[in-house]
Formats: sequence, structure tokens, C-alpha cells
Amino acid sequence: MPSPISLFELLMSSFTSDRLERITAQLHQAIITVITVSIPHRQTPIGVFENPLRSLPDILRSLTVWKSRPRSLTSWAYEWCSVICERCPDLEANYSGSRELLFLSLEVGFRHLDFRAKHEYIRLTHTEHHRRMVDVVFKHGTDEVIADFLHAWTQLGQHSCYQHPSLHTCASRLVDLQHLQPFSPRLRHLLISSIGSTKHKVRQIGNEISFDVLDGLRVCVEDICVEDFRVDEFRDNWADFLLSVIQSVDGTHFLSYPYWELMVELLASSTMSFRGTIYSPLVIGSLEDAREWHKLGCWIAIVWAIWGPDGAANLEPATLSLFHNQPGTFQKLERWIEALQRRGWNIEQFQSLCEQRNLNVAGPDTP
Amino acid sequence: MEYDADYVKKYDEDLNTTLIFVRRPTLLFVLAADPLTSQAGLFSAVSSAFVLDVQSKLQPDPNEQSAALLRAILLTLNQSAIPGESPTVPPIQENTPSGITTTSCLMYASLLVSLLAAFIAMLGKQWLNRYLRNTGGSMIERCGDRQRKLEGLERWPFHSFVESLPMMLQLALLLLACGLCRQTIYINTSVASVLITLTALGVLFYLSIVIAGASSYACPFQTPVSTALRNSWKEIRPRITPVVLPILRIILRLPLKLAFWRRFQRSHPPNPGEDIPTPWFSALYSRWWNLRWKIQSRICATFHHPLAITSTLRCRLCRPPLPTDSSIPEKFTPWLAPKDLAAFLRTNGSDVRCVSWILRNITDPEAVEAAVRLVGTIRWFEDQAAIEPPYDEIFSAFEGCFDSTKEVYPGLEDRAYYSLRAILWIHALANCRSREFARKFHLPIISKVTLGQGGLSHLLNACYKSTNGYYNSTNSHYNSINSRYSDLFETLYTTPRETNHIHMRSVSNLILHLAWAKQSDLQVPCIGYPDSAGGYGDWDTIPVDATLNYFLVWCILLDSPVEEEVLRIQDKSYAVSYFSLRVTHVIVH
Repeated sequence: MPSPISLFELLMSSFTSDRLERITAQLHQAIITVITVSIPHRQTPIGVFENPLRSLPDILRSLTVWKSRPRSLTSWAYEWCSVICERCPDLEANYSGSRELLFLSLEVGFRHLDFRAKHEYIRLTHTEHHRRMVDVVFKHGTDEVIADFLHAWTQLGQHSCYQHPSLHTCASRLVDLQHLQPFSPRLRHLLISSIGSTKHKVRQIGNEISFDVLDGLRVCVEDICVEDFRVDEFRDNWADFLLSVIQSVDGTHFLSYPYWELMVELLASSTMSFRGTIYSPLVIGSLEDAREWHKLGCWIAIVWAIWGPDGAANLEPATLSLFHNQPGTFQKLERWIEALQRRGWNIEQFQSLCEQRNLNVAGPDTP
Repeated sequence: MEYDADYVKKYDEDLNTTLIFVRRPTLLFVLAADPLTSQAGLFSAVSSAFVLDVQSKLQPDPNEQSAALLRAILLTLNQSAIPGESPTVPPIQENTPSGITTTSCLMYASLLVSLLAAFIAMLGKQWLNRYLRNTGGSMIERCGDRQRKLEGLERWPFHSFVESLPMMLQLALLLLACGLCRQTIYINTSVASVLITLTALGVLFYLSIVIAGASSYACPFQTPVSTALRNSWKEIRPRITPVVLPILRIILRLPLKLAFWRRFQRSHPPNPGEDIPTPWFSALYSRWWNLRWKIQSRICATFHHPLAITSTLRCRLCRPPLPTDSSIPEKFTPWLAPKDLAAFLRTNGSDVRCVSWILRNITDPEAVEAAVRLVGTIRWFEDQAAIEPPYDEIFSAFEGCFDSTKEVYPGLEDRAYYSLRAILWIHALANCRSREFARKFHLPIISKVTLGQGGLSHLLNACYKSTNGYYNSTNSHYNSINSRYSDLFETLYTTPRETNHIHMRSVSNLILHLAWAKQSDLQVPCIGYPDSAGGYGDWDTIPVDATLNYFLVWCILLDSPVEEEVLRIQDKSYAVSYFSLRVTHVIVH
């Protein structure tokens, strides 16, 4: 049986929810006004009062420990960020803690949200002033502040990326976060989401991203193929991203092997054709030279699926070379190819190559 | 409660006196016409005897009719039996003599008036029983119910009903006396003259004591009529004096005016053809001009603006009305329904009267404690006609919780807590009006010895810090008051972990009002319990109302205007929650 206090609180909360919403709205308006009209001092008949801005950090700090914040507070906090960015010069003149205010606003708005909940939609009003956050957050923010920021912008990217500049405007910042390692689960998840949400900038990130960051992220299929209505887009973006990384200058050598397997798995579940992607023949050569047969096995499966022997001239010799040098990879490669075929990839020529390989392995006397 | 017992006893005795005066015998007489069943009773015994006597005379007397017929028969048989009379049949008396009819009317009217008085007396006893009946519930609910009944008795003319009973009996007596006089006139004029004289003397005596009682409250010969006359005169006098006095003055001066006019006419005979103005018209015309000039100058001296005229008239002619749906501008209450505010004002006013009355009249410890609890949730000083809070009584209740060593008596911790909370609350509300006004409600001087554990220690600590700064200062400059309030504020908002929800609500409420009083050096209250790291945690365990209060404090500190109506409702939501908590307790257990 519930205690009378809890019953009472339940009853009271249902009665006061509307009032909570309204009083919180008044607080929001008060904060906006204080930030907008930043007066150094105010004179009253009682005496000279300090700048109310000085009270604001304490208030925001108190709000950050409120776990069950209303959802509207998130959109309001995002609005505060815009006003803070807009009024930054005035704030710095009257009150030097504008950066602190910005970070606290982000914390109030996004720190408490469940970063795994993809279905929660909070309407955020994005303005041009929000762009100024990028420099401040990535330059001076802690990992949690960056996570707050990424949470806000991935939230934006889900619904309004075509109307407002979103994560791709800060693509260059995402590639250089190795100093934040080890990543917190929240930041790791949000970075993975951010990379998957950067749309057409994903190849730029793939070319520029630090391999330390990728190693720190330790991305697996479960991180990408989450239950989300935009899982296909997200997965294709990641596949595109990994393809860019692999074909980048140092990707062949520095990209960890799990990412190669991840690429194959993403490809096996992807519906994207990748036909327009430029094939780089240097990858196979580099892998053969470095004798990285596992990576080569993954890459050959990928090349068979995307380009085939018609698009990649050195594919068949490389495949035969792999079979010859690393016979153990054959079965794994065959399994991948089958998985790719099941998803609709046309890899008939690989079958004939396998038959040819079987003949070579068994010899002419083998029935 | 003892007051109610005295109150009911007083009326009950009046009603019993009335019932004894006109007890059952009168009623039984009417129904059974058997005076032998009558019991002792002054009026019943007297009236029943006379009414019975008169009743028999309403119909023709058969014995007289028989005697007349026998006389006619005798004269027919022997015409010389009675010389000088002829043997004629006497006419049958159809109409009752007018004297008997008038006597009967007067006596029956007397009887019915006394019966009506008995009927009302019986009803009055039933009403008193209902007043004493408890509806159950907690002490506070019973007090509220009792206060509602008491206000109902005052609002509805219960007192007038009870006071009208003796007047009805006096009227019945007068009617009986008049009936007796009329009857004796019919029977014997000599006896009648004696009766009429004595009745007139009695009436004159009664009128004289009524006038004497009405003229002075100190006069011992008070009657209900004199009290009613005196009260009516108080009400009517200021209204009729400006009208009646000039008229009386005109009437009194008219003979002088007429005399002057006649003398003037005699000394100045009119020229031939000249119209002679009538003296009435002239006097009235000059009087009217004088009156008009006086009214005009009075209005100009009193009012300076048309709006001031209406507002002053409203204040003088009627009590300030409660805000209604239409009178509350919506801009002041952006999210509060005006109905809520009007209902709040009614409830708050009722609570103010109830608590003030209980603390000033009742000594029952349980009732006092319940009232003291309620004090900390009431919006005092709401309007100009509001009752002053019973601050001295609460102060005494608080001081009575401590022994000579300033330690709380065992078992009185709750009482000490609630009384100190009430003191702080009243002080804060007074401070919201003005600092000078707040000086009337000074805080108790607390010594460190009394500081204990729990919510009480929290309040004591706050009070100790604040009064230390205030009373140690040699001058009463407001800077010292500022420091006092900042200390109070700072200590209060760090709510200790061991306190309960009710305490957190009340403290947040107090802080809200201190903030609303525009203190100059208030700090931002951080919500939650202070933890070991110096921060604040467990924010979500704070009640919703306390959270909203802190939000409003923040709004105030950020210079956002918070309307007083919002504060009122916030207070009351806390008070409502307090009562709801008690109700929930009852339901669950």
C-alpha cells in the first residue's frame, strides 16, 4: 500500500502541474529579460541592488540538479543559449561569466535527458546566434558540455536539418576530440550519433578524423543499428563514413580491424548502392604489402559488393592471392559474400571464382 | 468549548424563561378547554382564566333566553303578575355585543402571540442543539465548522429571533390588559376606570424604561426594544441628521420669519400696483439657496477629482466589496482564474476571523495549538478592515513552551515549532507592508541554549541570528534590519535534511514573502538539502509547492514582477495541501 505522503504528492502534482508549467514559463521570461537587458546596477529607494545577472548562475546551477525537469525547460534553455550568444559582448562588459552562463544553460537543457531515447522529440528553435556556440563549446567546454551541445544539435538534426545549419557546420570540430578520451558513455554515444547525422559532410569527416578518436569510440553494429525511424539513413551515413576512412591516406593502416568488419556488416544490411563512390585501387595494394590479410578479406568482400570485378580491375587477382596466402579467410569471406547476396548484392562472379578456387585447391583428380 | 457553552447557556435560559412563561397549559386549554390540567405558569394561568370567561359570552346565554320566555308565559297567564309589563316574546339575540367581540379579539390575539412565542422558543432550542452538535473530523475542521456556524448565527438574525420572544410576550400582556379593560367597561365602568388607569401607568412605565434604556447603555433598565432603538439610532442618525436638522430648523424659525415679515409689511406698506411676494415662498427660497451653497462647498472641500467622489462614496456607504469575476483585471492574474482568487479571499477571511477569535477567547490547549498551526498559513493584513493577528497570544504560546533555562518542555516541541513559525510568518507579512509596520510584530529574543534538533532548531537558529543583529544594535537604522533579514533569509533557505514536507513548504513560503518584500541583499536560495560536498542534492524530494515558491523567489530576484495574487494563491495552495494531507491521512488509515 502506498504511503499517504506519496499518495498525497501524486494528487498534488496532478493539481499543480499546470501551475508548475506557468511559473516555470515566468522564470524563463525573467531569465531572458535579465540576459537581454543587462544593467550593471539598479537603483531603488531601499538601496543599490547588484546586477541580477550575478544571481543567474546560482539559479541555473540549482536548476541543473533538478532531475525531473519539464521538457519545456529544454527548449527554453536552448533559447537562453541563443540570447547569451547574441548578447555576449554586453554580458562580458557587465558580467564576465557569459561562457559559464552558456554552459549552465546547456546543462539545464540537455544534461538530464536520456541520450539513448531516440523517439523523444523536443522542439528547439534554432537561430543564427546558436552558431556562435560551436567555437566556445569546442574550445572551452568540458566533455559533458560538448555532449550537451551535441545532444542539442543531433536533436535539431533529426527534424530540422534542412531548415537550419546543423552538425555539418561543426564537422571540423568532431574530428579532433582525442583529448577528451576516454569518452564517457554519453559523449561516445552522442559522437556516434553526430557522425551519423552529418549528412553530406560525412566524407570530409572521414578524411580528417583522428584515428585515436575512432579507437576511443569503439563503435559496434549495435551502436548504429539502433531502434530508430531513421536507422537506414544513419547506417548508410556510417557506411559512407567508414568507406571514406578506409580509402583515406592513412586509413588502410591505422583503422582498427573491428571497423573493417563493421563496414562489412553495415554493407550487408545497407540498401545504399555506393555506385558513385570512387574506387581506390591503392587499398588492396597497401594491404597486400602490409600483409594484413584479415583487413584484406574484409575489403575484398566490400569491393565485390560495391564495385565488383568490372569496377575494380585488381579484384580477382587480389582475391585469389588472398586465398592463396591466407586460406583461412576463404570461409569467412564466403560467409560474408553470402550475407551480401542475401541482401541483394549481385556477386555471381564471385561464385565462379570460388568454384575455380575449389578446383585449384582440390586439384584435377578431385571429384 | 467554554465560550460556546456560555453562549448557548445564555440563550437557553432565555428560551426556558419564555417557555415557562407560556408553558403547555395555554396550549392545552385551547385544545381541551380544561383549566384543571394547567401547570404553574404566570401568563398561562392568567390568560386561560380570562379567555375561558370571555369565550362563554361569545354565544347567546340560554339561561337568559329561558328566563325571558318564562316571563312572557307568566305574563300571558297572569297579566297582573308583573304590573306595567306586556306579555311579549323577547327577541333572540343574534349578534354578540361589540364589547364582548373586542374583548375576545384582544384576548385571543394575546393568546396566539404567546403561542407563537412558545413555538419560536421551541425552534430556538433546536437551533441551539444543532449549533452544539459536532460534525466530526480533525480539530481544525471542527473549529472551522464551528466558526461557520457562529458566523451564520451572526449573519442571520438568530439573536433578533431570541430577543423578539420577550417582546412578543410583552405584546401579549398588553393585549390581555386591553382586553380586560374593554371587558370591565362592558361590565362595570368604575372597575374599568381603575383597570385602565393601572394599564396606562404600566404602559407609561414601560415606555419610560424603554426610552431610558435607549438613551444610555449604562442604564440598567435595558429591554430588547431599547437596544434595538439605540442600534437603529446609531445607524440612522448620521444619515438623517443632515436632512432632518435643516428641516427642523426651518420649521422652528418659521414663526420668527413670519413675525418679521408681518412687521416689515406693517412698517413698509406696499405701493399701489406692486406685487407682494408671499412670505412662504421667500423663506423657502432663501433656505434652499443656503442649503445648496453648503452642499456645494462641502463637496468641493472633500473631493478633488470625480473618481475620488465615487471611491469615497463607496467607502462610506458600504464595505469594500470582495473582488468578483468582473472586478479582477485579467492582466494581474495571467494564469489564475478569478474565481479562485475570490474563493481564496473568502476562505482566507473566514480563517482570519476563526483563528483570531479562537486565540483570543479559548484556552483549550488542543484548540489553541490547532489555531496556531493555521496562523502560519493565513494571509494576514489582506484589506484595511482585516483583523489584526493575535500576535501577543501566539507570542505567549511560544514563550510558554520554554522553561526557565530556555529549554523546551518535553512534549511541547510541536507547539513551539508552530508558534515560532506563525511568529515568523506574521513578521514577514508585516514586513511586506512596510518596515515600520513590521516593528509592531517584533521577533522573540532567542538564546543559544534553546537551539535543539529538527525543524524547530532551524527556525530558532534563523530567529537567533536575525534578532542578534537587531537587538544588539544601538540604533534602529534600517541597515541593521537589512542585516537581520539577510541572516534570517540565509539561514532559512538551507533547509536541513531531517525536516518534513510541511516544514519545507512553510519555509519556502516564508522566503517567498521575504523576497517579495524587496530586501536589498537577498541571496539566491539553492534548492535542496545541503550535502557533504557543499552542493545541493535530492532536489526532487522537495514538494512541488515549495519548488514553485523558490521559482517565484528567483523571478523576484531577477526583477520579474510577481503579482500579489499569485502569492496569495501560492500560500493557499500550501494551506490546502496541508489540509489535504490530513484528509489523506484519515482516508488511508
